[in-house]
Amino acid sequence: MPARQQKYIYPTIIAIALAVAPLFAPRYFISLLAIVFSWIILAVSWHFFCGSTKYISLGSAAFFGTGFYITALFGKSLPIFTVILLGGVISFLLSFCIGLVTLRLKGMYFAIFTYGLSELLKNTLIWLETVVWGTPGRFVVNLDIEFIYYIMLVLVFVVNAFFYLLRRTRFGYALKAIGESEDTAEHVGINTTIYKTIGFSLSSLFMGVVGSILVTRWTYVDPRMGFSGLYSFMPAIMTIFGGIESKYGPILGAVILSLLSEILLTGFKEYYMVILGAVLLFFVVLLPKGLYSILEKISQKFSQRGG
Amino acid sequence: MFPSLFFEVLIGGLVLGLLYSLVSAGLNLQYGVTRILNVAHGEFLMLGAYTTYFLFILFGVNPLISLLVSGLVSLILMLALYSGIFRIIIKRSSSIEELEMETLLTCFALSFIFQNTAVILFSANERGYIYASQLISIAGIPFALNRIIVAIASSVINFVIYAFMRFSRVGTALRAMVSEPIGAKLVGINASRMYMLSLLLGCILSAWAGSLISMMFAITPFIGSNYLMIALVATVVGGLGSFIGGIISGIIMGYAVYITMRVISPSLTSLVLYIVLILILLLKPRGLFKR
Amino acid sequence: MTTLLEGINVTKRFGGLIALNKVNFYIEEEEIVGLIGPNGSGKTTLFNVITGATPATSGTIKFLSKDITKLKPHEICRLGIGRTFQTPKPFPKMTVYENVLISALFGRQLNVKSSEIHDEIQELLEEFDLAEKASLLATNLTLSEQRRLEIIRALAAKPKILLLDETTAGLNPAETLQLVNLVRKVHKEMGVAIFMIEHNLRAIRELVSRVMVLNRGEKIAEGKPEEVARDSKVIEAYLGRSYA
Repeated sequence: MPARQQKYIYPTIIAIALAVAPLFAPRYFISLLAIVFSWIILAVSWHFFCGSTKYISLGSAAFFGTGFYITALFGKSLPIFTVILLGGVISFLLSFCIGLVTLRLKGMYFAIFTYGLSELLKNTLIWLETVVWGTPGRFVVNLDIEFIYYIMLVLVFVVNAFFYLLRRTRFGYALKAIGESEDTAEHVGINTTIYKTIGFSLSSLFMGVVGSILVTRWTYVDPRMGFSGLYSFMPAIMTIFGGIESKYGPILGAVILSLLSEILLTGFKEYYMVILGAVLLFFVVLLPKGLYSILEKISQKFSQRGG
Repeated sequence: MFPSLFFEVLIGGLVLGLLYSLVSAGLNLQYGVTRILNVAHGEFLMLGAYTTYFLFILFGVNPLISLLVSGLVSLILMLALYSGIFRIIIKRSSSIEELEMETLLTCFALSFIFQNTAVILFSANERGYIYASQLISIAGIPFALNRIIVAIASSVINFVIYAFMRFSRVGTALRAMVSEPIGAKLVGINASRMYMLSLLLGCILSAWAGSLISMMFAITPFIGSNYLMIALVATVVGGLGSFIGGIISGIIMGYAVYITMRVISPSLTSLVLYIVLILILLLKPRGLFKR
Repeated sequence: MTTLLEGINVTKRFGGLIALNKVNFYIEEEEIVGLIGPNGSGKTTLFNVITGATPATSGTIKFLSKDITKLKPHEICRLGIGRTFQTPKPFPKMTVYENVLISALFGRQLNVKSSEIHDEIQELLEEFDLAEKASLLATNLTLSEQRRLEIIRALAAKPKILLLDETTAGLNPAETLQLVNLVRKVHKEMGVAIFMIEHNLRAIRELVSRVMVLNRGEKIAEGKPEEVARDSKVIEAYLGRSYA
């Protein structure tokens, strides 16, 4: 088989294996995979905007939570795909407005704004739910775990392909230029505010979609669950741990950390959080290029030895 | 009915505002000099609060006296963080944007670590102690004595800090670092000493705010986040890096928050904060005061 | 001769400090005009105001009779005003080729596709002797090469006028000569007008037809290089009253 086609063999095998997994594997395993996929999407989306432009968003939970709550509100009255789409669209619109306000300014303002954003949405929703609507929590529409799994499977491929292709277009170049030297980018003809805003909104769109699907894991939800700080913290740490300079970094980080989370999270929540925080700290301070850079060095050493 | 509400808001907003000033001035000073946006600033507040709490509960130490200890504790912590972490990042950063980004993520991680460590050590439950809760009547309205004490203490601290920044040699040097980082170094100001000083001063102010807060309200490991958000908004409103702006906007925020809590609804404070933030970002992003 | 770029009573205040005080200037098509003055006289500030990097406090700037005073840097670039920076600001982790590509993709009045301009970029790189370094990262170039890259990058956006900010600063005499020839080439072969800030008086004399002198934010002299060099106000500005 010619060499060019050979590199598609492994991914195809994996894709097929994943596609038929629900037929053989236990429910728990399928559920776990679905969760890993969702973290990959969250990390990859965060990385697309924040990794390219170097604008740090600390507010991913706001968009995850938006999608989460859209499904909680409308999942029973609208068809499920409409609701998922709605979750994505509203997240897009929300981040577009935020982008227009904050992304015309320096990165610090963006970081500050996104930092409290999920708290803002959470508290406002709590007020709306308890004081205005009188529903402290909501029952969510129920979806089959296999259904969730398949949507996530399709999404994880679609999102990765989407951002991969987008990076290689004019748009992707513009974002990268902004990250490297925003002043120069402005002077070279790039309307930085618009490009940043659209880039940010695209990344938030998929976070909203993930939220709108994952909410169905629970039967009864309230705003605190959707807007948990975990969804802001994890995409960032997964990306940095995996390697912010490579497109594989967030995937690597998401897979490793989400698997660890699922194993360790039950019962040890706070200890686990402290360790995660320490891991992030370790990587930011000592290994800013993340795990991927270490793997690269190792594989370089191997190929040197062989040659 | 109306005048008593007015007075209550006047004093209540001031008490809160003076506290916010402490937190916000500290954050602003740190950012202005070092360009480190310390989003773990709230955790120093929390540390101060728990220090005072335990000193009171275990040894009966007067909260005002415990300010000395809580200040010291946060100073030591910040020294450790500076030597072990911030100094490394400052040294290797090739641009201000890189420095800001990396320290932001670092402080983000630190706040996670501190909050969860506090939950492990102290549990997430609310804790509180009773101190000076006698009611004093001012203009016919009852106020708890501890609020009066807090108001006086935070005014004094604010005043001393302001005087220090405005009139002392070191304070002037710090202000120079904020407005003219390169020029300041050229005239011989020792930059790394200033960095450390601003970080230490900032976290002491935060810890003291925490100690004072513990006199009035119940504390949890998460109180830091609320005050941090308010401090962040106050910092933007006052102007990133403007010390006096931090103080004045802290007081403005105090009123905004108090009025919202009292007259509208406590859950909507974040909404009000964000409306203020959005307005400032749209109309006067540099803040109301110059650097 | 059409007036390309024109500034009327351009004023810039930074708080209490007046960086530019009612500065008037004009550049015509195919001119090379020099901008000189002691340090801190406002030269780079003028460039920043023209390109929109910082807004003018008052006054008007026109490009081909169109008021551009309130436009943003990317709009001004696309209208045809290119600019280099005193300290080169390339995209550090992109290759030389990519640096030029980005400018060509975004900086022109009409958008192009990357597939269409490959040859153009190759030619530009060859014209200015950076073709062999095309796949090097911009940070790995020498200062002189980075300066060249700045100019090439600005040219890729097909500007009608190029604002050069001290392009010879920090270069040795041989590199300076190289750059002077390059600027001359750009002007002659590409018909681009040039407005250049310079400290190197030899470079000025070789290239410009007219020179403007700023001191403390005000224009104190204008004219042919030889005339300006003898102007007592100019000598006083640079060397102090005793020399005038």
